Amino acid sequence: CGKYNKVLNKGTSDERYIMANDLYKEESYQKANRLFELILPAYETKPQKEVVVFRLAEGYFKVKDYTTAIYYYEKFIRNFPKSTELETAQYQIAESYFKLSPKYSIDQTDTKKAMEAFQSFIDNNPDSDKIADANKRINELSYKLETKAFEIAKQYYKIGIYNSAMVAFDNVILDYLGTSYKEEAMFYKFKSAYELGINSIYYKKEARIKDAIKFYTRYKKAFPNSEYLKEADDLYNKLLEESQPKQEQNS
Amino acid sequence: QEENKQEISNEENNTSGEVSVNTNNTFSNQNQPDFSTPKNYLLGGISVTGTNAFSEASVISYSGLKTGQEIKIPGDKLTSAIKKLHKSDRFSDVEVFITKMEGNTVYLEIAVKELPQLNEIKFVGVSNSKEKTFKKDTGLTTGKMLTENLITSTENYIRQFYIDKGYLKAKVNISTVDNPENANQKNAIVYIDKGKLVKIKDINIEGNDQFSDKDVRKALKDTKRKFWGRFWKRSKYVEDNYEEDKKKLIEKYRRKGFRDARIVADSITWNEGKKTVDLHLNIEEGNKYFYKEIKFLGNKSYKSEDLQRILRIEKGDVYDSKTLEERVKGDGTPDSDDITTMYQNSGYLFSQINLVETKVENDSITVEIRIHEDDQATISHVAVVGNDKTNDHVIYRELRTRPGDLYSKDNIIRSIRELGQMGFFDAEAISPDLQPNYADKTVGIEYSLTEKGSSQIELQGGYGSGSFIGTLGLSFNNFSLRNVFKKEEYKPLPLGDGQQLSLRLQASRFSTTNSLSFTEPWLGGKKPRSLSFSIYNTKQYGYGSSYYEVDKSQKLNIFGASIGIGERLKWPDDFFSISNTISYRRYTVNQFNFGSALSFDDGTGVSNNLSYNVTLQRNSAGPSLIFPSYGSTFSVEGKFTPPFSLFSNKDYDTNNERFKWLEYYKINLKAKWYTALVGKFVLMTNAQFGYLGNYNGKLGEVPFERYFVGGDGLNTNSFDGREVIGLRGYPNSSLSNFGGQTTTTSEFVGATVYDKFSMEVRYPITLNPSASIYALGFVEAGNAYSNFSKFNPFDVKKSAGLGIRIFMPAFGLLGIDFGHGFDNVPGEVGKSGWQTHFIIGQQF
Repeated sequence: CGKYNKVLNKGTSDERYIMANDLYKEESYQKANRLFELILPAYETKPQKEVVVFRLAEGYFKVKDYTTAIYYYEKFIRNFPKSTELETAQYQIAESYFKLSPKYSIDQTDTKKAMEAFQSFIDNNPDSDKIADANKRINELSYKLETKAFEIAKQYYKIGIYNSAMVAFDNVILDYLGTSYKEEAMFYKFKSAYELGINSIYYKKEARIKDAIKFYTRYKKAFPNSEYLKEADDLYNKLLEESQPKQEQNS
Repeated sequence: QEENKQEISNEENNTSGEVSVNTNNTFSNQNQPDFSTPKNYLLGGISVTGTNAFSEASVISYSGLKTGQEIKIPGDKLTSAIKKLHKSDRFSDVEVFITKMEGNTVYLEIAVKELPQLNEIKFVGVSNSKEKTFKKDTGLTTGKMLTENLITSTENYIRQFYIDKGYLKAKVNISTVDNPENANQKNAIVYIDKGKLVKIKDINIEGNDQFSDKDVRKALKDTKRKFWGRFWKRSKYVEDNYEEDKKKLIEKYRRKGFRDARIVADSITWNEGKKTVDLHLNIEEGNKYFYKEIKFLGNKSYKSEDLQRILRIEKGDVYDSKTLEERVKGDGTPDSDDITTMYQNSGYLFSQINLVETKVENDSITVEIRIHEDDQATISHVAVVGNDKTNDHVIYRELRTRPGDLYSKDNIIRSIRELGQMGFFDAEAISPDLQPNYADKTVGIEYSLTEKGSSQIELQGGYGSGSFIGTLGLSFNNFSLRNVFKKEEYKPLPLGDGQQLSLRLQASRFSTTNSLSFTEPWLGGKKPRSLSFSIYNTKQYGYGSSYYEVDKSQKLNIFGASIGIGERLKWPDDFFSISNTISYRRYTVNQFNFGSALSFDDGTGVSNNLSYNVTLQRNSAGPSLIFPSYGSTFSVEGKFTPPFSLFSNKDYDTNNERFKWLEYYKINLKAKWYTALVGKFVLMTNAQFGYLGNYNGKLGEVPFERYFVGGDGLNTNSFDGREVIGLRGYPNSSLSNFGGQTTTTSEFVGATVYDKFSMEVRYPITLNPSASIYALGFVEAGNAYSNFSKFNPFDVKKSAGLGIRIFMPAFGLLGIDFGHGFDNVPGEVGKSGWQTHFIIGQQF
């Protein structure tokens, strides 16, 4: 430790370089990062810069400072586009954004960046053995965005703004093709349409109930074994009851 | 060596012009002079000449070339190598030569000329702090490569900086000298002579018949003549301001019907000694025009009469193109009342409205308002970005724009306002981004937000009342209770659910106070129904024989708790809200001097105050909280304790029994109206009334919960649930002093009935968000009555006066009022006279 402080404060660039690499190998990333950062200006024009920048990026990734890690990975890619570690750096940028990506219920800028980064990794390294991992990550991240969209739609349902809920559930299905929320979204869309129809003002009621029945049919066709089908059937029957007397009146 | 190198042109570079900086971008070859067609070579080696501060290896690594690689000559690898070296901003010159060719192997030489590096920078003629800002703004710092561009741009930047401030004669010169210690470095000296501030001596105006010279000068808001006693605006000449002012002058003419008014010539002349300038303006006013006819074309969903009602311009009116434009296209304010806004508020996002002058005859003009309505647009998506802490559900439930709704500009504005009022986001930085989709007539809206710190931690120690007082206060306005047991949510605290939590601990030798309160604005997440809960405990000791001594045998303990539910109503309209609160307070008194309010027979006793409070209010005042200019606020409040005495057979002959369970009911009515008067003047009219009654005449009115009328209306720290009502022109609480003997307000008994009426005219001096200031003049009348039989709404104490209010977000509201009381204070003879009131942190 005493030696570290001595090198940190008074060491020459070369001493620092050697010690930083030793510390890096010993996994003392915090200390290594400090030294590497200190010598970076002096190594700006030397070939060892490639190692310095890469290990800075890796070091910051290891200590979970992902924003700084991204900064150094990007610098590394800019400065050494021919490096053998290029593929690793590209993957690690995506991985860093993945680590930064927060829970679904707040801003998802980092989630979107992570998806873009994994996608561009796949595009740039079609033969990489990390392709499967990258695809898995993309699916995870996409699921997060789907959850967000679905929960927002569900909130419209919860606070009773059914027309907005219907549009929002539609958006979940259309914006995220193949989403695993499709079944729930279709069910809740029908439920929203049901509420809208059952509680409707008189002159719009018939059309709204018709709409709700249409959504029920579509939902049942798409998911004939849905776990919510029983609840949906009950609501459907209520809709039929509600529309029956009106049809008699009309006829 | 030079003559061995044969120069040939690099076609790619010359035709594309990409490497424009490099005029010497050449390379040569003796063996094979034909480079007209590109060919691949093997790069056998690179040598570098002309380096000084940089190593050969670093130049090569900058260039991106590597020995052993394949290279096309001419080719883009070579071009990009030269480009890269140039881009590094370290070399003034880069050349590449072919030194040798062996069969298919080529050897290159990179000849560079390094730029000198900036070593020391000295500023002459400015202060140190200016020097720092200039260095920061221009990037003129040690270590920078000294390019010609850097010098010129720095000179220009600094000169412009002074010219913008009215120093027209500012001179800036940067000279560079070699650093004697390092041949490759230079020192720079920045000479700045800002010169004298140039003022305007005179403004000569010609061609103005309709407006006097004085009126014209008045229109030039930021360009003023030098004049003794000019305090508010300086008479310096700033070109940008002058250009703006000229536009305003023409606008002023347009508003009076002079559609063709223009400035034919304007010039600046230096006066003798070059210390001041004269401005010369030559105006051509042209004719005054009137409307001959105004036609609406293309309107389908609104009738012409409806549009005319918004336009409020009749034929025969003076042709005021500015007002016409404002009524058709909006005046840029959020509450602009114009035709475009009306269409934008009812879904017509894609509508286009154009103004065309179709006929100009003599002095009359025919105007067509051509409307293309297009289809109504529906909102397809609503998104929020930037909420790094606050959860989606807290935000989306407040938004008034929802998927499936018709597009409405008004709803967007209201959403922005309400997001700002939540206090979690920087209100100035909320911006909506519209993503219209013309093909399917939809629009997406994305609100971008910036979180701001909404938590406060207060930790303070102070000296007061002869002892040390320590306070710890925590208040979280965006708390998340459901996440308190989740470790990963501590960043550093569980936030983001919009709940309020505050905790306050205060201790001194004489007292301790602890309080905790919590509010959930949307209980259950289904409706805007808030739940609040608070608990409160305070202990107070009396003074001993000396002022500094604590006497722990004199003790007062107050415990309180309350729980309330508040709800925004949709009926009768959505400005209404109702709240229900149950609160409980327990006073335990042990030989404690509590003033005359609560006196137990032997100085010791317990008093309980259990009450139910219901408040119905309507608040439509706006636009801002600080300076409302329209709307009104009404509230009806009822507060009741259970009528304990009706169920018991007690005699209530001792105070201990009378005060054991307090019983009373209370009714408060408050109303405020805001009316815009001429100009920016706003009239605030206020009426309020309060009554404290009892169920059982034998018990009489409780000594708690009373009204204290008079003075600044600031709530002082008191334990008895009193309501302090301001009435300027009279000393604090003086109108509730019925005994008339005591002078300290804690000895006052307080009133059971009061009324108050006031009218206040307000004028905004500035409504800047960082500091709003307004002046006010008021007349007030009101009085306090010891019981209902003495109540007489015409027996009031009157006053009038003037004041000023300053609101700064960091300090809250500060103000001072000078009020003159025309009537006497109880117990005194003669009128109250002038009183000064300081207002701190009062709610508006």
